[in-house]
Amino acid sequence: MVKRKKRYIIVEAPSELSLEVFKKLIEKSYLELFGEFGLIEANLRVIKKIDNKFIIECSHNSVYKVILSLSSIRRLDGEPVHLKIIKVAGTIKKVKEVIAEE
Amino acid sequence: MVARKFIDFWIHLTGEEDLSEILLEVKKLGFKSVVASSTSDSIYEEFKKLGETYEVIIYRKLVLEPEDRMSLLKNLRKFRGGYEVISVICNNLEVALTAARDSRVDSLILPPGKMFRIDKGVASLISNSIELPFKWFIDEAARRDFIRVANEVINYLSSKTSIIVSSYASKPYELCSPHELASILQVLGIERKTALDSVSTIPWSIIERNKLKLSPNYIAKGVLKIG
Repeated sequence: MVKRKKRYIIVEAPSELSLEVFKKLIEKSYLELFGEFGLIEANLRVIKKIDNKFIIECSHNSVYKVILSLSSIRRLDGEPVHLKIIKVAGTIKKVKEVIAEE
Repeated sequence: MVARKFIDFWIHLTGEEDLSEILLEVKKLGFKSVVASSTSDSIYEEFKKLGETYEVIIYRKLVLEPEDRMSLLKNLRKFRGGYEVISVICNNLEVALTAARDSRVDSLILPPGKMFRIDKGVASLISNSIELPFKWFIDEAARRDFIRVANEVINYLSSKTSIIVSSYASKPYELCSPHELASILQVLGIERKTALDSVSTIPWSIIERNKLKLSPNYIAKGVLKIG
């Protein structure tokens, strides 16, 4: 079986946002734009929250779709919110390095 | 490999927001330069002065929204010498056809609610870039129409002309990183390199060309006064 390539996206968000809420937010946005098939194809997972940073895992050929979904999220409960993409990395090791540097 | 110099081709200054906050966000997002339109001259002057502090180069843009061909031509004659960039919002086919072939226009903006189709006529005449303001994607009410227009542009015009993606932000939270702006083109089928060119090399080449035209040494296309 061919191993699927993954990418990790580090996203900075307001610190009061919980992992569950963030997960729902990104899934809803992705679903609206690319549908059920797109969501399954993307293998989207929110792995971890470190301080105000979230780590998203997705398939490597869906990265730009995830970026677009993230940029379409501009409001949360009526308040303006900006999810800032810090880095797209290919390995968890690199993700840890980037977070340690920040 | 030389790093890309990213440029946000349209920020709209209304005077309601803190200008230093906008510039700080622009800098954080990785832009070297922005093209700003403003509701008044004083706001633009203040923004340009602040830009020097934040090491962001500011250029001035005029956005025209004419009703017909004659008013477009009149405004182009009047304002071309005073702005680095002139964009035209095309609300009807007559304006789109005129703006598409006029060399004084730098970019054409097709609004989400446009009432005409991009047909063979527009495609065969077009010599200017098409600009897609990302704010209309963020706006949920305009999103579907914006994607439809962007899709039309890519299908019918991407082989004929270049495409630019700008933020059209007027508030700090409306600003987007260059990769966010480029992602809309990638989703619609443009390859990554060309998508990133739409927020870097393509707008830069327009700015460079216009800076040369506005310099006192410029005489005609290909002719410069030396010394």
